Amino acid sequence: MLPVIVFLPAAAALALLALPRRVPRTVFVWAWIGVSAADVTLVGAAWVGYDPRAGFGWTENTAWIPTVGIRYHVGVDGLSLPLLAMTAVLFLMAAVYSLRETRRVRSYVCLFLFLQTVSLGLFAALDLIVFFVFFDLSIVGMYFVIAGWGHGEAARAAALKFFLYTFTGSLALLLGFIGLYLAARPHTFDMVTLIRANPLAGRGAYGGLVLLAVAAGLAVKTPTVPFHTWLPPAHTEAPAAGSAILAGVLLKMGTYGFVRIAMPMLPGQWRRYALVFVVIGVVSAVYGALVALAQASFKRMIAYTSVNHMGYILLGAGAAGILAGTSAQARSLAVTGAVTQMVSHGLLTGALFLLSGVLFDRGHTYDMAAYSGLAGRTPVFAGLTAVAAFGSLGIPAMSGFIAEFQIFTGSLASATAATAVAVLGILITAALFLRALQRVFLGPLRRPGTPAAFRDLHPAEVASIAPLLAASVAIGVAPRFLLDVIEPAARTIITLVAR
Amino acid sequence: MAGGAGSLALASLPDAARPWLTVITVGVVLAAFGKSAQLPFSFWLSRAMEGPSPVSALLHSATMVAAGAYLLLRTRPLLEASGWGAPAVAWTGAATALALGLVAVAQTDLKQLLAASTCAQVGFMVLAAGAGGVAGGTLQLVAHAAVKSLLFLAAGAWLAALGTRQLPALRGAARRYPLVGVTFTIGAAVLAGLPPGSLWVAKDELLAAAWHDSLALYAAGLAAAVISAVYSVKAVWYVWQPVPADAASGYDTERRGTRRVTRLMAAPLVALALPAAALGIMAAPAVAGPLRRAVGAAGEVSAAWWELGVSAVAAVIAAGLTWWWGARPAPVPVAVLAWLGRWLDLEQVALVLLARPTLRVARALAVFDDQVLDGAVRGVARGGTRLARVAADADDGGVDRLVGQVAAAMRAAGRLARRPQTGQVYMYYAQAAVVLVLLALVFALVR
Repeated sequence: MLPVIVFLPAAAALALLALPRRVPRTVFVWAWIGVSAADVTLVGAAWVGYDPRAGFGWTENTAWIPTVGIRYHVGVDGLSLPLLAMTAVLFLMAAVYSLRETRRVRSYVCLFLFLQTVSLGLFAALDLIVFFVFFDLSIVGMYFVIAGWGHGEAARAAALKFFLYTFTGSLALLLGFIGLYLAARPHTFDMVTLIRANPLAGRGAYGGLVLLAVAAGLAVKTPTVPFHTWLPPAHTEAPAAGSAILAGVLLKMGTYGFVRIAMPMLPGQWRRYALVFVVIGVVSAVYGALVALAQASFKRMIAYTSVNHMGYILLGAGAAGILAGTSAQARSLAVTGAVTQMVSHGLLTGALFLLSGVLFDRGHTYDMAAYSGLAGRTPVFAGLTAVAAFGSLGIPAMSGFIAEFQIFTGSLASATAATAVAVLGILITAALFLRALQRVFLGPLRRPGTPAAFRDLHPAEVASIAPLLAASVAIGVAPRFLLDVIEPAARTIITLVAR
Repeated sequence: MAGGAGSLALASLPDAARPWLTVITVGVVLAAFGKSAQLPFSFWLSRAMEGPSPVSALLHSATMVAAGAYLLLRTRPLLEASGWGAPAVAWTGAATALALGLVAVAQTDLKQLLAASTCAQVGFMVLAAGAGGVAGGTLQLVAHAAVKSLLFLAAGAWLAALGTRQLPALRGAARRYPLVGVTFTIGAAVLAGLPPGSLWVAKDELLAAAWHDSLALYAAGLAAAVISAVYSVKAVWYVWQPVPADAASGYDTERRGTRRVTRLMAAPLVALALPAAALGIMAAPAVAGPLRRAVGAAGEVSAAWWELGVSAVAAVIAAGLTWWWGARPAPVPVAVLAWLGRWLDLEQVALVLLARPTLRVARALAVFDDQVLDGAVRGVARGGTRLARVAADADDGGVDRLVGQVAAAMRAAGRLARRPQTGQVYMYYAQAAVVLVLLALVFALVR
């Protein structure tokens, strides 16, 4: 099941590359939509067939490079299944949105299909090297998306920065993985074995260095302050679908790594340095929100809110490592909230980046000062943006609230001061989103360039953005279907961290 | 959750352990004050009056603003358990009722007057929650909702018809539209606390709890009740004045009026005027008993007959004096009046203390982010390329030059070695002879 889900897009990409060039461009996009829809269905089937109490499900384990003990080991649990589903949905929506893409569509579609395999593969990986391979390949795919379909010269500079910065991070990560490998007896890269073995228990400085390497690698990818400066240019210069995937899926590879690898494989070290992660999380949350508040570009602003949202995840994960003064229930709540936040941020920020793509498509600038009063001309665009913005600032009845509420409730007892400060981030986010909505959509109508028609959303745009928001509302109103899967896994993580 | 209550039920809040009990109380109280526009958060309600009148009627008087007071009435056990919560809430409510009552008196805009009076009236509910008059507070909440919706809708009807909400411009508005005028007057009379209106009873019910608590609290509440009579009657006085000759010059300042009050606009006024006047019945013993049991306040004190009498007399005197005073300027310094008119400058304070510094910090951090953090990254990148250039120069000028020199030397040696290869036999003989001689010499010397 999992290998099919993971490699179906890559196989489709190979098949599409074999097609002659004169095939009309819509064929490629529709093929992508078909493959993604099949993937969504398959992930749905995997979800239905997965028993949350059973630990890892749908596992496959075959030898890959036996000389160094690298196995193709994949499987899902309550941490990875929601992210797999979110990834599949987001790629489907990016595919639908790309119906409007006209530039070099064949390579564009194949590149995204490649990225889809890479992203799904990472969340299914149960071997550190398989994880690392996908982690690294995601950088390659995204580099070409930004450089090839971005906005000109600046895009190539941003792509270069993105590649080199995150590549540095992934090298640090590899170093950490090798550290784990060498510590385990017998040497292994297998995640399940490493989690069970806890190879660095009581290994003082060595364990600290391995955590440092792993955390630095993941922190660059996530990104957290101060490793985040590759993110605004990469997001701003990437095409809309690329930004949506970058923010929605690629950033999650970092945060997912924290709960999948750092917490259960290095529990002693995680507990020891939990406060560091809490502080980094809070600084990211408040600092990201404040810097976002000062942005003039709509897309750059959303990019910085990602730093804010990722900060909450780190806060929850860090708080789960502080055992004093808290209960297992609270810590499990924090981890559940962190994983929910990953899903929620993927849906909402994905939608927001697609919407910013609409803005650029119509007005050819992200500068909010260039727009005013668009709500009268484009009510659907304004409505969906408002829903996405309110969801992103954590309004109840949407997924962001479910996530952030759990993170704060779970973190308050163990990291009281930090949580109190982090809540300010919500207030600032609310202020910045409302200011942006007012500037762009309310007031007298003003739009850049020629007074040509500023068209409302195209059906393909509605069909790509509205389902993301609908999913967020579904999680916000009836979150049980999601939490039932996440909670057992979160409890497992808590037990593993506490050992 | 952190306090070990293990549940988020409202009823389990008082069971939380200290110091979390304090944290919970602070959170609940601040949230309620913000939602209910109590001091010092009152100013937002003034700005919310830009919204349409039905919105003001529903949200800003009946439901949304009252939600904070409702929360406090609901969590009265928490306020009690915290120790400091109940008196703090009671006094904030009393202070809001007093201060925002004065603000209401100073307004010349009808909707602003009603908004400030909403803060003041909700202040009574908050006072009730703090002083332990949950039944009185609930009665106040219900009665005020009917009255204030009525008044907002009447103000909206005039705004739609005459295009203004300025009190001086609304002179004679009640005479032009008598139905609106009469229903407005009923509402204002109830708001003034005149007997036998519902708010008269409600206020005395909750002030009875205050009396039980402390005399000062009761006095503050009574003073606030008197002030509510003043601002209510002030509005009524304006709308019942004779229509001035140049009335039309004051119209249409906010929007173009239609000069009509439609039946659809009038119907809710009548529908609201009845409960506004009649809800006082809820304090009658037959109804009050079940109501008290319903809100879980069976043991609370009720208003004594003399308390009802005192407040009735005070309200009537205040109303009479206000009517007699009319539009003459208030006997306070102009600066104070203007300060009250600006809602105590609370918005300015929030802007100066919170909003502007936050924005300034945000901009500074954005610059920091671009210049310092990203600058460092760019610096590393620049350093990398510079290092690369140095390495490239060293490579070209050092290593590669050496390689080139070695190659050149080899080439020269090769050229040199080609010299003797002439292909002529006598030359080879000569060379062999020279080499033999040299070898013999070397041999001889080494021996």
